[in-house]
Amino acid sequence: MRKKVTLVPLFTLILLLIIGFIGAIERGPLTLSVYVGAHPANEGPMGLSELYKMLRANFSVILVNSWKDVKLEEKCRVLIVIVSPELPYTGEEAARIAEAVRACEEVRLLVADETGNANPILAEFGSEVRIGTNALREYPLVAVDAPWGSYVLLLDRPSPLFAHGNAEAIGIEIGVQDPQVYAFLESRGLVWGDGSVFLNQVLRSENSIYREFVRDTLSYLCNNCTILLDATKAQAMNPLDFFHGNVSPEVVPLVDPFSLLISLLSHIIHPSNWFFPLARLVNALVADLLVVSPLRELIIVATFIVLSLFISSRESSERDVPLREVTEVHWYGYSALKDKIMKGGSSLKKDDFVALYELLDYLLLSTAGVSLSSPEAASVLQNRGMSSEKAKALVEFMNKYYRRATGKSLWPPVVFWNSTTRKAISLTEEALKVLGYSLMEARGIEGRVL
Amino acid sequence: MITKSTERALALALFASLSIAVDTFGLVPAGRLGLATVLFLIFLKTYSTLAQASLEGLRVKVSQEGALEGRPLRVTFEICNPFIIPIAFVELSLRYPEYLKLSAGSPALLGAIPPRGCLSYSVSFLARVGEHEIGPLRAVFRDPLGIFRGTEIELGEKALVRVKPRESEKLRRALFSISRSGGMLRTSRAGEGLEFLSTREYVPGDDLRRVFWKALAKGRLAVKEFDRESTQYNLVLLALGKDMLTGPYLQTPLEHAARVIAVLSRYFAEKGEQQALYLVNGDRLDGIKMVRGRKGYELTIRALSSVRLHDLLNQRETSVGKGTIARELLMTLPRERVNIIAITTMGSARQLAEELKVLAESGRCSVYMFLMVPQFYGVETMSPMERAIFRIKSFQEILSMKDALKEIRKTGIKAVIVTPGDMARRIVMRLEMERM
Repeated sequence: MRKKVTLVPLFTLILLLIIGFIGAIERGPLTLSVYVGAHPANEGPMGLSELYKMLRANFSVILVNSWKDVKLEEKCRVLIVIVSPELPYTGEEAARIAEAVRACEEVRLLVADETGNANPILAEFGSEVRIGTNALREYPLVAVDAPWGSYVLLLDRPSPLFAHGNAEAIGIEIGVQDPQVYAFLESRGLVWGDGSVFLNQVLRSENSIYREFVRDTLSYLCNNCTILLDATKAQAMNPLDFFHGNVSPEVVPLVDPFSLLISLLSHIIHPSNWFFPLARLVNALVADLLVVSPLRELIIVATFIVLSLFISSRESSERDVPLREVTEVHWYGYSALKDKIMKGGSSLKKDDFVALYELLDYLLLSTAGVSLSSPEAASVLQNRGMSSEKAKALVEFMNKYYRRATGKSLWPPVVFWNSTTRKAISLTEEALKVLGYSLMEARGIEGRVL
Repeated sequence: MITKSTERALALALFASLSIAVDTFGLVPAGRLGLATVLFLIFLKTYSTLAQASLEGLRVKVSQEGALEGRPLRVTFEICNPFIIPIAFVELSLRYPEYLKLSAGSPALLGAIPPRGCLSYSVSFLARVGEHEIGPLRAVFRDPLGIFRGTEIELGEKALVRVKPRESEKLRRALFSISRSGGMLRTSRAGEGLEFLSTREYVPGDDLRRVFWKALAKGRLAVKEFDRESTQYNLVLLALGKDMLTGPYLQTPLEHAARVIAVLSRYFAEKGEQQALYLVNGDRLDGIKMVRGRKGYELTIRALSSVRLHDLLNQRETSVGKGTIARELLMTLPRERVNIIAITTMGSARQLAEELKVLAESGRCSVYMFLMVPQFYGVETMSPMERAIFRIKSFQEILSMKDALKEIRKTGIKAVIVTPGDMARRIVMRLEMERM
């Protein structure tokens, strides 16, 4: 049988859990933010989860939540992808992004923005293109004539772009008299006046041309490079705000319900949210119960029992008994018989009288040459020193009851063998003594008989 | 290295719990007392664990003095604590055979062993013949209040003690008085010896150096005759049945037999006769082959002091031999005629006789069997009437020995019933008769 090995004792495990529990309470609840805008974690229609999946399937991707943490190798090739930033970049942030990719030998940009929030980035990287801040048309049709293919795309409230220098306009509005430019290709990359093309709702649509456009564009811009997908400018929302009514109604349909549920659950199960209220509740309950007289005593007793059980269960207990000592034993011959006689449990019977008679007969025969039943027995005993009356009485008594015991006579009709045999023993002892034997003395017949 | 709490610890734990509970609910301000009790329990537990670890690392030295039957057999355990943790207290209990009687000292004790100190524990037994295992000590640690108790462990090794049988000098001298010679080997057949036997008329061919000159001076030509010297080969066979241990302390058949054999062996050695001793234990035959002189005596004493009483007691039934003893003995016997002296009790007599029948019939041996009479020990404590009743009820059994004796004699074995007191004399008388 294999020995059970305990790597971590239960006590240590419980102690660690308690420490972790206190730490979790102290640190506060973990907030899983909910995104409604262009963020890779947003599975909703306005999210970038589809784009993120596409990038991960085809390229080496780094999701950037903080540009401070971006560490790139020397002489790397990167493509920075910025889609519909919800907040404007500051000059410092733009400089930090430039600093993060400074070591790379090739840095290209894909900026898809209809808000103009990304203009500081364009400025920092020396782009000649700028994004307008107002959409002129809601759904313009745009013909894209790019080196990687030609497409006709319907955009969703894009911002027109403005450029000077050598930027090449590759996306121009069609079907209107004053067409706007919505896409410029330059040495730094591509500037696109609409982020909606990259959002989940477009990439999930049945019309696959958008998906093809995005895939082809990324393949053109990123040839054996690493894509840095910026997620720093998506606005996070507290899931509790949805319950507190702090969210505008038009935002609600844009939230992925599953993400919202997970976020809410992570918030609710955190001990900092339920432990203190629960403790307060229990405390109040106990305080209320202690006011009631019988319950007060019951609670004390219950606490006493629980504490006792806890303390005693920590220790394996056993009864304190002294060590067993050796019991010295001696084995005497016929010990069972002897014990029985000494306890008075052995009464004399007819057979015992017969045995006594035969014993006396045997000794008389072997010593004096006469049997106890012989007429000379009394005189032999008399000659050995026994009184005449006693000798005659003994011989007569023994023969009378021997005949009765062996069935040769029916007289006397009633015999109490126990008392009769005891009387016979007393009479016989005297006869045995004159023959040189004894039944009653410490040194008896054994040995000499044999 | 395990310590367990006792019922006293449980009582203290209950007290601590109660103190804390009543204080928590503002009944009595006894929380500190409860906490102090818990801390006290933790302290005792820590000490007990350390002391138990020290107990398991104790060094124990066992020594013994005296190994002669009937004398005190002293066994001393020197227990030393090489650690800095004092052991207070340790309960010690000596493991020894249940058939040994303690004559001095206690079989158990409660003591403390100081750090880097020693504890000496001695006991004395009334030594009885055979090989005995004494020890090891069993030890259990307890803290001073008996709140925690360690696991039971064994300290030290077993001391193997061999006790020699006591020899009666008086009996030895008595045996030499029975023998017709003070130490030289002789028979009653005339021959080339040193000791004078008688004179007879000269016949032609007699050596003139043996002419009895005093008779010649009176005109009669006679020669002296001397005892012919011879060596006897005596093999003692002791049947070790379970009933050999029946009887009072130092008065069992085994102990009587061991004393008789020891005296006989010395007698044989001083007479320069060949002797061998075999112990029949169940179907096992152990012993020493024919050896002469002092060496034979020493080997005999060693064999007797190596009888394991524990094995005898654990015999399932009183049985000797399984039909192989005679064959094994025949393979070891010398070509000369051998006197086989079998010493046994009634319980083993018939079986042993069956085994030795072949030897008696072979003509190479004279087989004597000496059955020890069952001694009615312990009758001293009975009243005269109880003694009489006891003897009447066991009389039939004594008579049955006579029947057994007759049966054994039919096999050609010269069997006699003897008491322990006259067994040695009866044996020597038989051997002297054999010499004639």
